[in-house]
Amino acid sequence: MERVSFPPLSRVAICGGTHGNEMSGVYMVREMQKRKVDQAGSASITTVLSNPRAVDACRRYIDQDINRCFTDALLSAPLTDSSPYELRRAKELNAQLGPKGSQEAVDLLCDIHNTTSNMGLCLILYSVDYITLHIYKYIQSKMTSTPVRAIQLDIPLPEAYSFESVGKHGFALEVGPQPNGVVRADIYNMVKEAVDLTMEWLQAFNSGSSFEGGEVEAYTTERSVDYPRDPTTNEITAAIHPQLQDNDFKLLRPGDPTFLTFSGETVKHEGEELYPFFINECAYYEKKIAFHLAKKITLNFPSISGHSVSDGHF
Amino acid sequence: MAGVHKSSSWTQSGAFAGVVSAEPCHLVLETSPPDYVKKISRYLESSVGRDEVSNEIAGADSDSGDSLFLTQKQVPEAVRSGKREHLSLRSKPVSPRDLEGSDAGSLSSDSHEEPKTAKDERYKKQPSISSLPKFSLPFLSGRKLKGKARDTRLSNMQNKTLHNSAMGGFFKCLIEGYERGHDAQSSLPTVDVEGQDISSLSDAPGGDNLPYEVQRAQEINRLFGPKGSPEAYDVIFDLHNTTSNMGCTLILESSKDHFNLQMMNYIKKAIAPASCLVLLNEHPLLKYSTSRSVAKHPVGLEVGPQPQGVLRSNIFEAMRVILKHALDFIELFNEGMEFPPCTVEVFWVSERIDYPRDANGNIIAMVHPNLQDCDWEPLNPGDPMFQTFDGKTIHYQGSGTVYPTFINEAAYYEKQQAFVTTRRETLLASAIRKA
Repeated sequence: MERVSFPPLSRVAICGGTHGNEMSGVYMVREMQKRKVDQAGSASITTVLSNPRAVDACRRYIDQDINRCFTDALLSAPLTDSSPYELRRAKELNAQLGPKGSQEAVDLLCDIHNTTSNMGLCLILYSVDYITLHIYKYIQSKMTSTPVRAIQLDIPLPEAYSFESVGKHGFALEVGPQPNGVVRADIYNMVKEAVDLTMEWLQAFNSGSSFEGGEVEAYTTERSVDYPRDPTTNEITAAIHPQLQDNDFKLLRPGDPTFLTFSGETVKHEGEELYPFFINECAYYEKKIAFHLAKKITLNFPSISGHSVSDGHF
Repeated sequence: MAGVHKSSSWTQSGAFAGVVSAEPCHLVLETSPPDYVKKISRYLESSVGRDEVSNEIAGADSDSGDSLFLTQKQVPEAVRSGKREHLSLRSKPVSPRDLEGSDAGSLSSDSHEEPKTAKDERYKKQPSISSLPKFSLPFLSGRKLKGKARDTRLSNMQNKTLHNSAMGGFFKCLIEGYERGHDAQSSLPTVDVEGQDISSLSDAPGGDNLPYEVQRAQEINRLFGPKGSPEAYDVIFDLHNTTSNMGCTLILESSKDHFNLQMMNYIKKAIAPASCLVLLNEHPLLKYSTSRSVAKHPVGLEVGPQPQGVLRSNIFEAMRVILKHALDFIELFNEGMEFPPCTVEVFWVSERIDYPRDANGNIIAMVHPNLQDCDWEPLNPGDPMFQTFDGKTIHYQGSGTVYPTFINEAAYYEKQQAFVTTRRETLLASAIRKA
């Protein structure tokens, strides 16, 4: 593949507290603000506490999940007096770091999340993007404390609903397992390492370094599976099976156990072999998701380098 | 486990900034009145060598009297006796003059173990701590609002601390009153407002204005109590989860509850070689009034680690097994089995340790990776205890080895608790048999 040039990434946003009870991002942003971190080489850094009311209350959200509010449609819909807090806040964030899809948007937006699932460190990419793939490759090559994986959602930009789609390039850092409302030092240290490595890569890129392309493995969502539920009450009737619990990204074969009902029966996986993730994520009970199932794919991407626009490449 | 990755590649404009300090806060809470502090220290000092307690247990008859023995007769259902007197919380902001009289204790009668369910709907609708009445102190310089206005209300953390301390001050007055031989009514603190007739808190009206949980506690007391009366239920099992790595834990409230001690001994033996430890929360200052304390024999089941809002099969199964053995014990007891004297190892709560915090009440360090998940393991002086966000280690400075638990429980950040320390004790339980 031919090498691709990009203009420097001069404006970067690091965001935490998009979900107010996912504590690594909250404390990461607070710490960066305390230390007045606003530069990484030639790039300017903006740190943002995305959902301050939810952070204050230590809840995922106040009215609705803000990380589903960034579609073009929702961002352009007019506000009324009764608009949910998060819709209001999403528009504020879009004005501050976007507007999404425009030239004024920040070059890179990194949104920090935690999960109760045993996913280690994941970069969630809403689309294939050479910049974020290179950042992923860089982090993966340097981090040894935990597996580093990429989940690629493949959503066209107008329908992309999550916060990181506001930047020209963006990714969510999803780190677990960590309970809501808790900050674990080991998880925080992983997040810090990933953010540090991102800044490191950025500075190297902005000073003209080239990064060799290649291929990386990523996971792409096929479907999600809900808990078995009682048809009348809609209450769940089973828990994730002990053999599936904590085994995110371990291949699930037909016949493998997925749920254990309260009366002791085992429910088994049917259909093709797939990779489960977000297994038993707390926030997904209400979204009717027990786990997602993904295919593993290989993504090829070219070498890239940062060049100024005046060099003629873009 | 990776150490902290030291970042040398970020630059900061200007000098390295330390902790951002808040505007000075002149709350009385910052320093306890000296006599109260002395009282706490005296108790803690005297409680370090606790051998005399075990001897006490050995010689004691059953302290719960006739209520120790379950009778053949079914306990009649508690009947609502009409509208009871309600406790009402202060709903008006307190003036600085009122604060001067209250004690800055760390007592809290808040029920600490909130039952955690997997139902997100209920969790979603639950009011946040910002629904507590907000104290506003006019002498604070306050946060700048739009225009020239200043917000002199306390932050959520400060507000909650003040509410907790006000409650603690209230109970301290009550305890001191009892010790001086006064009745409850005259022990209650009153606010000296000229010309006003102050009723005691329990007389105050406003049932509907009570927080949901206070209403619910009164309901539970009506259904399963009244607490302290002969009509109260014999046993309540209170099922809880924790984000801490406590495994299976039984929580005991009284070192003199021989029935419970025998039950816990039975459960421990029944699930062996799996472990089930006993936490004894009998500390005059740190003890709190649980919903289960309405019964004659309250039993707490605490199983973790499990995140809030999540149901894990292994945790669910562990709780099911413990409860099964507990009910087996009751059945055997009711059938007339005699349980001979036995010893029970307990972990006795000593001290609550909070996170290091800044002036705004935000934590500035996390439980150290070496301590995280190490519930029940010895913590020695000099061992790592906290890690600041910029990677420094804070060491445990106690005088001896302790056994920490409830390490990094999500619900306790707002209760100023990173973990509790305990000491290992062996209690003697007398023989018990149904009367």
